[in-house]
Order: sequence, then structure tokens, then C-alpha cells
Amino acid sequence: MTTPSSNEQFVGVNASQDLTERGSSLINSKRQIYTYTDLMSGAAGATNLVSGGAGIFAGVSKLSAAYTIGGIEYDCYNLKCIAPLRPEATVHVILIGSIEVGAGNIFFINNRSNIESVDFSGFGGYTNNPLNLGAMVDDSTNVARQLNGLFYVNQENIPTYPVEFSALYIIATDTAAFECDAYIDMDFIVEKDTTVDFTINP
Amino acid sequence: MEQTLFTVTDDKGTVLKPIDATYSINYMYKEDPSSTTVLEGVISRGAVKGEEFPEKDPLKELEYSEIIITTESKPGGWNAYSGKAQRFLSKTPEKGEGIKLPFTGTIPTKEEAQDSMEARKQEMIAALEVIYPPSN
Repeated sequence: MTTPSSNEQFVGVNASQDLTERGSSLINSKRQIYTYTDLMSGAAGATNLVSGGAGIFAGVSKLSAAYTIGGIEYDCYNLKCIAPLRPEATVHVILIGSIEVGAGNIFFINNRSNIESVDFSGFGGYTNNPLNLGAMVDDSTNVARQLNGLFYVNQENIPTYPVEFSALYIIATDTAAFECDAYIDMDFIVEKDTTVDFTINP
Repeated sequence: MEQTLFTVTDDKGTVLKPIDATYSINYMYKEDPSSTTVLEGVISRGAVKGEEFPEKDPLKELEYSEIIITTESKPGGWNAYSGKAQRFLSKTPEKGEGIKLPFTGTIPTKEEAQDSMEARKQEMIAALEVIYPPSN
């Protein structure tokens, strides 16, 4: 797709008078005008990741999207974390940190997380797969292979702490020792206007 | 059609999905010396579903009905909310009731939270290494 040379291509209407949109009660002055750059450039969500323990980087930021589900309004947030799963082991449990909200639960609604592994002695380069069962991982042979165990992000209420407190872990297992890098990119929703406090594993 | 008879929430109204708890619904009639249990079971994912609350005996006068939530306290369990009995005078419970359980757990400091999450991580590693033993 060719990228326009300027930022002047608006998506929407710059109205000189208020017109009612067909099939809607909205008028043009109530519409948000986005530029092409707004829509097409850059990463969405958390882009300032701070360093934590075990070599991880992570951050949380609020997204512009809002949801109304069954009449209840929710704000949307993005969690990103970059985590090395090494040294090689059959079990990796990486503590990302905690998310504590003012009220309510958090619901993860999107997961775009990626797993990167080395395949220098295989087909060459790096492999990139969605974080899931069967993602490709590597070991000291530098040949990427398919994981035969678990791979997921765990959100858990810690015993005796309130429901608003969630701990977050990356969990990965295999019958043979492995390593890889995880790039977590997940969106979650919380009750509208409640507080969201992310604490990275120090 | 099955609907939510009642939910089990915290005091702010958040449904407590992981809660380990059972419930019993009792009707107390003025004519009887003890209450009658009309429904009981396990609370699954913070809610009890059904078609209707049981009808009261039309020949007797209902003094009260009550929903009793009993939380299980066990090693490794969440153990953050205590049980509760909610009473409805002269009527049966209404569908959609939210039973708010009192919080009896801990509001952690940052350090306590970190220690707990680290301890939980070690528990998970130990449990997973039983299934996926370390390779030599």
C-alpha cells in the first residue's frame, strides 16, 4: 500500500455545517477527525517500557477506545512486556508484575503477543510465532522447534488479596529445555474511570 | 429458561468468580420451629443459575427467607472473603440479587505483594517441574 506523502489526507469530514449522518443521529460536529498518520503510524498503547527484574521491560497505558458492554462502560488499557525466557529450562515462570484497579475485575480482550527464537542453524534467522501452545522456541543447537508444552499469560488473584489485585505471569513449559524471547502485547478493559496501578516486578 | 438467581460479589459489586463457596436457601415459616432448606449447591463462577427461586408453601405464612453463603477456607485457596447470610423478611428472594461478601483478606503493601507473587511463582515452578522435570 502506498503511503501518502503528507499528513493532509483526512479520514472523515471537515464540515462547514452540521449535517446529520445518514442512518445515524450523529452530526458532523460530533465526529472525531483522524489524520492518515493517526490511523496508520506507530505502535498503539504502551510505548514507554521500564526495566524490571529478570531482564524484563514492561508498561501499561490507557487506550483511546472505550467499550459499553451490556450498558456498562469500560476503559481500555494496553500492557506490553518484553521478557527473555532464559537460561534454558523445561519450566519458565516469569513474573511480569501486578495490576491493581480501584474497583472491579480486569478482562483481557486482546492478545497480540509474539515469541521470537533463534533458528541460525535451521532455516536461518529468527522465528516469530504468536504466543501459544506450539510456538517455536530454541536451545543451544540454534535450531528452532515447536514447543510441546504450555505457553500462556496467567492472570491470577493472589490468596487473601482483594479481587482488584491481579498478578501476571508468563508461563511456558516443554519436555526439553528451551529458551526464547516473549513480546507481550495485550489489551484489557476495566470499569470506566476506575484507577489502574501497574507495578513491574522489580 | 435458566437465568441468574443471584450473584456473589465483593462490597463494591464485583462478581467474585474464583470464589470457593456453597450456598443454601432457607425458608422460615411462622408455623414451624425451624427453617426449611429449599435449595443448596456450589457457587460456580460467582453466580447461581436456575429458573426461579422455589415457591413458598401457600398454606403457610413466610416469616423470612435467607440465602446463606459459606466460603471454604483451605490452604492455597483465595481465602479473601468470608461467608454471609442475607435475610429477606416476609418474602422469597428476588432474581438478580447480589450477595455482597465482606472482605476479610489483606490489603498488601508493595513489599508484601512482591513477596506473595514471588512465593506463588516458586509454587508454580515446583508444581510444573513435576510434570516437566528439569533436563540434565
